[in-house]
Amino acid sequence: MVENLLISSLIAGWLTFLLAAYAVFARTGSKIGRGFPAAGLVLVIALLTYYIVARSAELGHFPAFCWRDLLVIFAWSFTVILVVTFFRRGRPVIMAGGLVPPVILLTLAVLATPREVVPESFFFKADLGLHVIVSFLGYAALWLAFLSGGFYFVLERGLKSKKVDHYLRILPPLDDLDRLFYRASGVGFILLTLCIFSGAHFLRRLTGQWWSWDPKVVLTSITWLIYAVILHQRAVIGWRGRRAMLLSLLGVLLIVMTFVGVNVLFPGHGSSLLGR
Amino acid sequence: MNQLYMLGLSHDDVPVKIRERLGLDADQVNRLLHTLKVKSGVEEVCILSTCNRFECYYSTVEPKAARRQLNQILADISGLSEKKLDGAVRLRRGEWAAAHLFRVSAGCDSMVVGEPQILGQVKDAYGLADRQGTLGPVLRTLFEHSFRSGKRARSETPIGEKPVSVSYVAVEFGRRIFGELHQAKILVIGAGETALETVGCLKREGVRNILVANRTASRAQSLAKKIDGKPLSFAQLPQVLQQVDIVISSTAAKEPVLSRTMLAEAAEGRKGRALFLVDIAVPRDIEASAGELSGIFLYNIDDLKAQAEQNKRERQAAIQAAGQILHGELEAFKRWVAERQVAPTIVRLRQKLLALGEQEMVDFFGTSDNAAEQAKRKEYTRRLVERLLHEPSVALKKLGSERGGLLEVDAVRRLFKLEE
Repeated sequence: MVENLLISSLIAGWLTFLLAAYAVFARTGSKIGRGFPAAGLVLVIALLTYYIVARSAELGHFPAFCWRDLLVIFAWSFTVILVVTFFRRGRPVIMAGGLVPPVILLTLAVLATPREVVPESFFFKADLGLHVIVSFLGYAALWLAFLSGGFYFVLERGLKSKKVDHYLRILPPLDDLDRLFYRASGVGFILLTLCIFSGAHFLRRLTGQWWSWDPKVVLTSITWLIYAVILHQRAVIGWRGRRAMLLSLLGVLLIVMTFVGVNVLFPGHGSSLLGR
Repeated sequence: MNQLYMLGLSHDDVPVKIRERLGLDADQVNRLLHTLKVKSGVEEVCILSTCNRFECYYSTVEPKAARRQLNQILADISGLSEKKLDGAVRLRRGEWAAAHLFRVSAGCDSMVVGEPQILGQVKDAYGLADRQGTLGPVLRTLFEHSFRSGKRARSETPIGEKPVSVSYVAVEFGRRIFGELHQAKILVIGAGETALETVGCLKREGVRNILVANRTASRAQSLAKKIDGKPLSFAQLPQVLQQVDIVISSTAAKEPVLSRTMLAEAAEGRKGRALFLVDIAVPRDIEASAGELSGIFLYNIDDLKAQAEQNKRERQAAIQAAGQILHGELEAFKRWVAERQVAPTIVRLRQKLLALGEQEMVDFFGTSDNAAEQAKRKEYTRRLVERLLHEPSVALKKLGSERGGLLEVDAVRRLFKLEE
């Protein structure tokens, strides 16, 4: 059944993405522009939630111990963050951009071979589950911040050049993008902080130490520092546009390195420590 | 379709000195509708009168007499000679009249292509004629199709999407920066005409918080009163620039009113919040290099005009796309007219066959006193006729919309002696 759920959510995810992309490029009314992608997104979340619940029931614990499940949980986190954003003040372009990572992750999840790494005790399972959820939601929020920062940069340049072409009309207003960037960075930062705390707690249970020079721990800490700088500068001197976007890009690249690079270099799962 | 006509004039081929003579208000249109219905022998009539066009759509079986009467009545109203009026107006017939109305409703024929008011004006014209009782099935269906085509052209093509006046272009830029403008705080410096127009547009967007600055306090006060704003002096500008979102400047000053230094200080105090500056003055009021500052979006009159021209070109380009929609609606209207023309033939054919069938029933089975048996026989005849006539009915409707098809429909009428 979980296989079918995964395939269904992949199809629903791609269809929602294509609908949102169509709404961006074709001038459409409210139904195709907002209604259908929103309904598609809710369906994807429902299917992914069902998958996670079904997998938990099947394994008897939170399913964060193999690549496939991790990818699904990651995709689920993106859709949850996106749905909150889209229902508040959604634009098809945010929906389409926000759906890029989850559809890629779901495609990879379908291609990935399930391989479970069983942790040593129940406590580790519970700790790791919380750590995974918090970090993935944080990463998703930071992706959204990067997306809105990038759009802000593009729109700002367009407005400075004094032309509002068709491609600029598909973007939300500058102020909305700025607000989204600030809020998503804030939420992402808080979640990243929780991720570091839960990770440190998990590490202590495993090794008796709060800190390790594990590449993942180091990279996450640098990412945290970068977002701390972004938020500080935004609050104190009102950083917007290019500088904020470039730092945010660096943050996202570090996240990609943390999640993909380190896990590929140190095969295992959620934390490379478990693989050792 | 051949009974449908449009007699009228528009900005395309008639100068304003003639158009203005037929610029009628609602009361005058009401009176004219009544007169036309009574005197000119038209069966249905509807009048569209705006500042750019006067068009009379009517349906008649006596076109020559109707036109003569119409010319006389319009000449009386306009004070023009019949000859002069005859040279100014244009007559369109059948599908040309219908296609013209569709173009008008979609804004393709407007002076400013895609302007949104025209569809409302066509609807108003329809409403007036409806209340006067001068509409019939042809004009009702024609106008309903025109509303649909106008609406579709606007929603499915970019014909009315982008603003083409300088004031609205400024508002559009403001929307791209702030989204909803009703909470925006505005500063107006000077009192140029375009600046006041822009303020008017912003007020229509819900803007309420307006500050007015002028070199002389009395002028600031009188202008503030005029646009429902709050007066302030030039000395307060540096402070105010940190608080407002939009600045509209149009003074007659020879030197810049807002310097780069002043705006750089304001930008610093604003902590990156966007400031939208609209400089409509010539010579310019705001130092051009201020536009390079982060968070400052500066537009002068040429920038706004260039965007307005670009938007106009895009609207012109959209006419072609709108044409496809209008063509589709015109075809639908033509189908309706064709079906309407053959409908009496189909009805009569059905009646004749039903009567024949019922007569044959009586002749063959004899009369019956049993009500249930009678109903059964009637129902059997009806179903037989329906089945027999289904395909011929579809074929007749199709013939109605084909060139020369009505001759074949006429042959059917003669074949079955339906005239009798």
